Amino acid sequence: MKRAHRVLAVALVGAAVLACAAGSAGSNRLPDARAAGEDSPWPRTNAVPANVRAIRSVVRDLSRKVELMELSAARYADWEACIRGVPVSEYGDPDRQWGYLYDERNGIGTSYMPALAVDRKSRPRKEDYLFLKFSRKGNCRSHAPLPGGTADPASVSATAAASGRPRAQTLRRTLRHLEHRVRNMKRSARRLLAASERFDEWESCVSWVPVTEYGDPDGEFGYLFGPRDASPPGYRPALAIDRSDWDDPDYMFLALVGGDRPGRTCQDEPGEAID
Amino acid sequence: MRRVLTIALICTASLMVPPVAVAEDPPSVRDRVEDLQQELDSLNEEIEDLQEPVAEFDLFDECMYPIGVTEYGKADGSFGYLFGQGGAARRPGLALDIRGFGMPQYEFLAFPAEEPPSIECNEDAGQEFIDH
Repeated sequence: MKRAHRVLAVALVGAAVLACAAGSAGSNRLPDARAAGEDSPWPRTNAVPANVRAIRSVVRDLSRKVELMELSAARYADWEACIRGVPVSEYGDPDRQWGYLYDERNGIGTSYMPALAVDRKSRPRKEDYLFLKFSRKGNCRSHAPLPGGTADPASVSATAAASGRPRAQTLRRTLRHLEHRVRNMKRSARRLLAASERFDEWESCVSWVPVTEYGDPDGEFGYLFGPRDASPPGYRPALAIDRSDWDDPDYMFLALVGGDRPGRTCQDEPGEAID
Repeated sequence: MRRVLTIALICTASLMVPPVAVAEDPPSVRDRVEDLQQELDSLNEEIEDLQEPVAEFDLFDECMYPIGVTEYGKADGSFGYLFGQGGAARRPGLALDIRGFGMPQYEFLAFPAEEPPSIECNEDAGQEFIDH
């Protein structure tokens, strides 16, 4: 019995020693135990002030990145809210057997050409294309994308970028402030993720439609145009789908094709051009 | 022997109890520092992962532009482009409206005519950074 007690005592003491060792290791959790790698921003020391300084530096860097991304997301949200669809269909035969009358005035004579017009008759999603227009209503005018794009690199505002010398703060106050900033950044990251998913869904549904204007803007040749009772008609240019194999189209219009709608059905691969 | 056994039992028991008590205490400064570092490591990864998708907003913003288009002709067929056999009918049609001072009916969104999404349309975008 005594022998059994001795064995039990040794086992318990051993367990206690192990538990004590584990307890002290668990409370010492700072980075040197994490074996920070080459890329780790954390110092190889347990000293709390040094680690707090490193945290502050990382938070500052991440804040700048997040702020830049938020500027991009805000611009996207601005123009996304101003985009409307216009149903457009191609009237006339792409093989030019019927359609609008067109005359190049090169001696060949009048022929048929298809052209694009606003589709007022088809039921929703039955139009050929839903061209995307930028609305002029409400606040949208000020958010219009610039012709040719902004080509401006995103930049952080001077206020946000300014990083003055931190005021003397107690460690706990500094930590509380940093924790608050990290919480805010996590919220921002969630918002950015949601915006990028929304954009991805929208973009994956949008097609690039090759469009060229045929005819002379000065009225020397092109589509025949005029009132029903006039003779002879004049000439005007008009837009048509560009199916030419040997020339680039004038423009690639953004459109939802064949009833595609973001969040519902999208027939094409993301951002696919229509041939 | 009994004394040793009793001490060992008390020691073991006391080591079992503290974790529960510690969990209820407010975290120490050291713990908060450690937690923040772990959160920042994971946040840094999240933000790195977001860079590319968010850059697509900029690409679109830089490349996309509105182009003025107006529909010419009347829907009632009294005036417009000649259409059909012998041009007997009149139909409206769309044409660019980028000259003059009038406002076009529509500002359709377009991309430059290179392979979309263009990598050339935003070539000026990083100029400022490159120059510095």
